Amino acid sequence: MHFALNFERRLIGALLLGLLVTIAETGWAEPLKVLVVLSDNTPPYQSFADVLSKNLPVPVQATVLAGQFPQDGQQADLIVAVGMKATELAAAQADIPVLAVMVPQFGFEKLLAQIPTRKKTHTFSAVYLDQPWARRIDFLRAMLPDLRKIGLLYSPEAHLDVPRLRQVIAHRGSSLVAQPVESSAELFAKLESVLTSSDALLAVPDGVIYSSSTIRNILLTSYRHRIPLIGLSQAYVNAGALGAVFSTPEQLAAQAGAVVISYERTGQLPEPQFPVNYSIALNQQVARSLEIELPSPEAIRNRMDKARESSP
Amino acid sequence: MMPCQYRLAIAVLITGAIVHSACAAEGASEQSYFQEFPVVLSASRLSQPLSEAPSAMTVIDREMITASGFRKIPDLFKLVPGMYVSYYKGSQAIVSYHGTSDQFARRMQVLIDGRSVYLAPFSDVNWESLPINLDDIERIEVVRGPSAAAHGANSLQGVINIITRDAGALAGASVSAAQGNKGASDVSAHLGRRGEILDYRLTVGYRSDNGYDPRYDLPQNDTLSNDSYATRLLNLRANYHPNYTDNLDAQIGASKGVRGEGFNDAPLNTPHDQLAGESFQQLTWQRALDNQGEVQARYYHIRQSLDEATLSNHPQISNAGLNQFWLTDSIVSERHELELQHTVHLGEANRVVWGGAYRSDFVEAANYFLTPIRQNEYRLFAHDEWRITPAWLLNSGVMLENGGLGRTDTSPKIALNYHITPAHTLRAGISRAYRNPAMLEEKGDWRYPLPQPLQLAFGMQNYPILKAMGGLRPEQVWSQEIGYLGKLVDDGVSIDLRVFHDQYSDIISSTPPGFTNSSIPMGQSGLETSIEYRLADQARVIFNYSRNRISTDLNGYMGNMPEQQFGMMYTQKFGDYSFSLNYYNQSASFPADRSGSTTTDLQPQHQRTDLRLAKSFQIDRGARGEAALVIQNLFNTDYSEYIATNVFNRTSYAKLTLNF
Repeated sequence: MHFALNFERRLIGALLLGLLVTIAETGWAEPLKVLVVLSDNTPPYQSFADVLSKNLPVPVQATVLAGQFPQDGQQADLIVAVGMKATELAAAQADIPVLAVMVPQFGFEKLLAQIPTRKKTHTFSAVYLDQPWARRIDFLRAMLPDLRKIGLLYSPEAHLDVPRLRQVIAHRGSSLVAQPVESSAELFAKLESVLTSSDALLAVPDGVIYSSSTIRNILLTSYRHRIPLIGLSQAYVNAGALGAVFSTPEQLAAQAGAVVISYERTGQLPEPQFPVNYSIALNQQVARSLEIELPSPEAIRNRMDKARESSP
Repeated sequence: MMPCQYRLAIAVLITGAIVHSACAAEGASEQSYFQEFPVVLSASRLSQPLSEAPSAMTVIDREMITASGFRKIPDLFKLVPGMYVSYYKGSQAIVSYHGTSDQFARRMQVLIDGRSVYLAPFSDVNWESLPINLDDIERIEVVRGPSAAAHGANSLQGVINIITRDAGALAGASVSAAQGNKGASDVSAHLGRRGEILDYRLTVGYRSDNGYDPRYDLPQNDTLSNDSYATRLLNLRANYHPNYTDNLDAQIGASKGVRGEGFNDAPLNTPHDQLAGESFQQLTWQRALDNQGEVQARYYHIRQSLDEATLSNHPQISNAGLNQFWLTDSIVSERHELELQHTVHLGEANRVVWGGAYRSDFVEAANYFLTPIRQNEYRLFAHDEWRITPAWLLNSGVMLENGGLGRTDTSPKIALNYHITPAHTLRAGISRAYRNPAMLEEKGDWRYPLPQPLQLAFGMQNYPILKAMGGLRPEQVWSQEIGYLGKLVDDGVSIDLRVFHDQYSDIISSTPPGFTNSSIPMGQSGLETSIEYRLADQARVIFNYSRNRISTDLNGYMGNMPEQQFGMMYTQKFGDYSFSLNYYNQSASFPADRSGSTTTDLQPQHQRTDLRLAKSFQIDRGARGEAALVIQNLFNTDYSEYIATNVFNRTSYAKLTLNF
């Protein structure tokens, strides 16, 4: 047990990067010390850190974490944890308030359920990475107004609230064709079955179904059926999905920056929130080949705004 | 391993320190959003929508292939308006857009996954030797009109572009067997695997039947055509995709067949067997570039062989004191081709595909050429797709070709598509294309060596068939067309309409002992339409109609293409049952090389109705099957293909397929 922990610590030491942000403001006796913990040093995390530091009103001092939180990290007033790994670590820093960002709602809520003290003290909040379901469905409807049946594949790992999703979709005049996939062995049989009975395939965050090793045959199979795939990110759209609505690390950083500034003023973290700003990516080549007339991104955005205003 | 929530809880309680948790990867993590993917639906993989294509195009999809009930690949082209499909023999199909074909259809390019199977020395397609199975075909795109810039040399009248199923199209296995009358017996097995970086599929197959029915009501009542065939084939396709940008597709295949050849009344071509073989290897590498660009390199090699020995009994033989003698024939044809292609986007509205290719054809056929012949061809091509405005699309392209005859030809094409609304498109296009003379037409010295006693009787060493005089120019066509594509009734109805005029010159025609470029021009004009109606998800009706008129004084070409053709396909699914009805009707025509001597081979106006019924069933979890019954020429209408003795009476077969 001890050995395993040691090993894991070293692994984390290699993966984690830290960023210490000190906010000096006249109204405060002490400047607010914000520790930014990144789960990884790959571009999305780096971009987040860069933009966050630009959105905060003072110069940023970056610190690389080695093995554990640095001494001054232990004295931080607020931890901005970027990604699930960093969030789990930060949650273990018992007393320091944590703002989790670039985390899926499900992952955050699952973690929160395990630390009841955090729940009670309101010292644990988040800006989620995933789009609210209503927005994803509004996007689909804005992009493909004639869409009737939305196909969906999910494994138990996705922890998908299917009844709730079905309700959201029904509310917007479409219906859901959902197929549970128990094991990766039956993925393509289920895919064929969903494709024959739906007008579009909606990707969900589910590593069992959508991985770099399965995406190729999922896209080829759905293209063969002339059914578009709706992705989760720009990468999906580049690969061949018809479109995706998502928030970039930059957009999330701007929102996180606002939360930090408000915390600095009020000393309180707001309730966990979904991303406010989002981006739309469309694959015109795929649309043309499938003979789908896509509205412009601006038109899609307008339709989504209208749909949001008119929904209860 | 401990469930992750406990591990985390223990870590928090005991150590209060940094703990890595593997559970982050299990569903709750952000990785799904930051995952990198390969470019799967790249420019070369996406098919062009009909309304944006520079030519009229018919797509035969898998559903149509199945619903047609056809067992043979060439038959599928009966589903294309303006296509002439017939058979010189049960194993020797003639597929020619707009007819103008004799026994060898020479004016149409045929590609399988980009590999040209239009081969020397006759410049035709040996359909029965193709080492692919009907079930291996994903879809067929038929370009109706010249398309040299996009599809290479000899795309004179049109292009058949067969796209086989992807290496990852099948995970599991399937076997199928069909049995019917007239010796129809087909068996095939397919195996496929999908992997993280490697997908592959394998097909083994056997197909056979006894060909056409004989005919007994003709003056020469023993004109039985010996045309049974049996072909065994194998093909393997693998796709290796080691990273996010590269993709390597490898294909190999081989076929071996035995075919009936000869006629009862042909003394130098008495009934005998022909052994036919074909093999190919093909490698395609694609790399996705930034901004939706792509480079592609493709190499392939095809080897085809035909071997036969005829026991001849020419009337002059007995005079020479011989009962009979053996005539042997052997043809080996090989092709190597390397093609490089680059797709690049010049801004949002402009896409260019350009590249070059080198091709080498080799033929060894002692009865046709005194020495083996090698012919090399080079070509450069570029095609530009420019969206001038959302409504206007300009496709322009050109191919420069050096076909090995010491001249360079330029085949340009330009087409303007105008979307009146997104649902209605007008297209106008003009293009020029060439057909290089077949090796036989330019260099043939076709003769059969005679045995000693016959040399005296005939007064010659070799029995001559033809001797090319050389110096041929390529045939040329200028093609003009206006097209309309429309979608009506909530996209439930699609209409494709085309009127065209093609002007041919330098037609290579038989001038004994060889061939010359005729100075007689030929014009061909007509109208083609295809209307598809999707009644609901489960039903589909397609109507095809074409009207075609040839005007020329060139011998053999008048009346060569049926003036009118009408076809209809109706398919309907009821749960596990599927039903399809196909109707074909065409007006009279004369085979090009058989009209001079006799009226026997006139193909009168004929019609044919085919029916297919199928039921799919579940065997157990994961295993499915389908049983199908097909009746061809349901009403047993009297009709024959190409030669009067190729009688096609009602025939039926049953097919069982199991997938597991």
